[in-house]
Amino acid sequence: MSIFIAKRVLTLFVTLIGASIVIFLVMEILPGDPALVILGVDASDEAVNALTKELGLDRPPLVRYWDWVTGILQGELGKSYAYKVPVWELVEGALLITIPLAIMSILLSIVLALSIGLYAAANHNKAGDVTLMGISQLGISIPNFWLAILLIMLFAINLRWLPAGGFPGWDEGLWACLRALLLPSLALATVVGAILARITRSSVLEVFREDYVRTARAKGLSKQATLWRHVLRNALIPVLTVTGIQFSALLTGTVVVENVFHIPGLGSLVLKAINNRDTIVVENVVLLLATMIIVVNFVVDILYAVIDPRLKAHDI
Amino acid sequence: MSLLDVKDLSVILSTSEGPARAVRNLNFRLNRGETLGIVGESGCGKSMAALALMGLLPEQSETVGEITFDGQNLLDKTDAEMCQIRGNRLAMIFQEPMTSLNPVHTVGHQIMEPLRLHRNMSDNQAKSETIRLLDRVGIPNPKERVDNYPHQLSGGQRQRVMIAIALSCQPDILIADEPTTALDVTIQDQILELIHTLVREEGMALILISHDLGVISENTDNILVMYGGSAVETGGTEQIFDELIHPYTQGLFAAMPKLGRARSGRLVTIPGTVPDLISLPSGCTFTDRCPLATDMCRNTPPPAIEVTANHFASCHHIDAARNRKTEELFS
Repeated sequence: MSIFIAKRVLTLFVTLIGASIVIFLVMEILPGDPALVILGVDASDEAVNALTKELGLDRPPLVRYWDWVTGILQGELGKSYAYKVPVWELVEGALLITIPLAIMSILLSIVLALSIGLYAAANHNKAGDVTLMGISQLGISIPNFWLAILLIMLFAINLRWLPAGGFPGWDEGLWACLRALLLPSLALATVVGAILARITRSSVLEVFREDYVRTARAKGLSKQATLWRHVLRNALIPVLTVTGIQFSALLTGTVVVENVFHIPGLGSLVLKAINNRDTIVVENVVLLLATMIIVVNFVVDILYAVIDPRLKAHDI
Repeated sequence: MSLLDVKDLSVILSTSEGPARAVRNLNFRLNRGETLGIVGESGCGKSMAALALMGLLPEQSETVGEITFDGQNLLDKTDAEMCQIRGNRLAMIFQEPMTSLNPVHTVGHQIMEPLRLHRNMSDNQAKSETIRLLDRVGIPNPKERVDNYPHQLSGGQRQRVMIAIALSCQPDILIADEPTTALDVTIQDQILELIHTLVREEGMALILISHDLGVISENTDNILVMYGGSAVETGGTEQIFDELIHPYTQGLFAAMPKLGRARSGRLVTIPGTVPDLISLPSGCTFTDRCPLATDMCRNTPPPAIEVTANHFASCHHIDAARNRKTEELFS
């Protein structure tokens, strides 16, 4: 197991170094001068030059890359060009929204997916299965921002059960925050849950055809007991793979839904930073996202080995 | 009264091309402690008949007839009632030991399952019983092996584990569906020997399914030869090997490679292939491949004729078949 983990940690570092180089290069190539954006197009050349120097952007790229990377290693992310505050202050607030939102969404999706997928598989080709699969097809097809608007109209405007948008901040208490995140996570979870439900269903159906399921039935286990004790765990591998991918997507790609609900998450932060040519913020946030995705994949890999003992034997 | 009395058992599978009668009008009996061999080529319906006994046929199928086990018709039972019988009084071993065990559970866990289910054993009791069973089926170091996963065992050992599972609740009938087909020749004998010994010592009845006449002849009291879903010949093992009657049984025997025979000759084969179950002739299913077949065979199902006491063959041309020697019919 320790070799398995050591290998993954090494991969994590190599991937991060590669990612940092790519991110830095892309931001270099991207047109647009932070100083010009801050001062406006009418600013004089002297003022622009002075600000460029003040921000340290006149130094050669290699030096700036080195400073960035060594800064990160010392826990120093630098200062935002646009807001003049340490990058970490901006990122911290956004992370405290995006990560809980992603976790809430993925948990909701998993609950949705397992209940729908298992029910549909257990009632294969019956009315319930066909109906649920039709609904899940609809769920996959609906754009999540549109669903978000519908949810706001129903739960916030008509029923007045939940806030229409915004985020109170964690100081206001857990309940208020969860309420604020419920509709956005529901909008996100519908699509993800629908995808996962279909995968759960087909995976369970496939495992049901395995010889060891027949063995379990021959022992006298009921269909239900066979499903829980013999089918589910084997069927989880493909579900887990897609859950990992979808969770990564939720961490990085919720910007549209965040905007619909006016939630200052990571997606919104990075979008603003790109518009402001606040390169230092963009670089750090993107690197952070890359790290999170690698960590998610790492966790998924370990979970594979927990689910299926054969994988442990191969990897170690 | 027999322990198991199968009457007019038919299994109809619904396929995309129409209904297929995988088993047609099968009749046989099995007494306590008796062993019955069901023999036939792939696709003759022998596995389907076994699954019908267990009530484990695919959902898109229909079973008709009567399966009277210990005085009760199994076909009248609900799935919940069958769950009380399966693994407890009727147990089954399958052909593929490599895929018949669940890869994510230890073998111990898988053997303990029926013990907890039918014997209401506690975890500790079930575990010590499992270790005893592993030892009984000849697995070395059972105390360590009990925590192994299936992938850590060889094919032969996995089949031993399957036997331990089947044996766990001391069933009245053990059904072994080609238990050695997927194993090495050297292991095959060990496994058959093990089944043979266990059946005798535990007093179980055995239904051994195989395409291998050699395996059947050494391990059973009675034989049922199946072709195209129906029984073509039944009788005592010695009776049948004394006189093979049905042209199909003769062909099956002739097709067996024999030791000591000159290598120059080609192996004898039965011409043609296994019939398509969807478009079987309404009469004798062997019509298209039988050297004795006439128009009558195609249209009229042959009656089971008692040739000698308890030795039945279903053939319209039974006298002609008896007069021809095995080798002549298929050479």
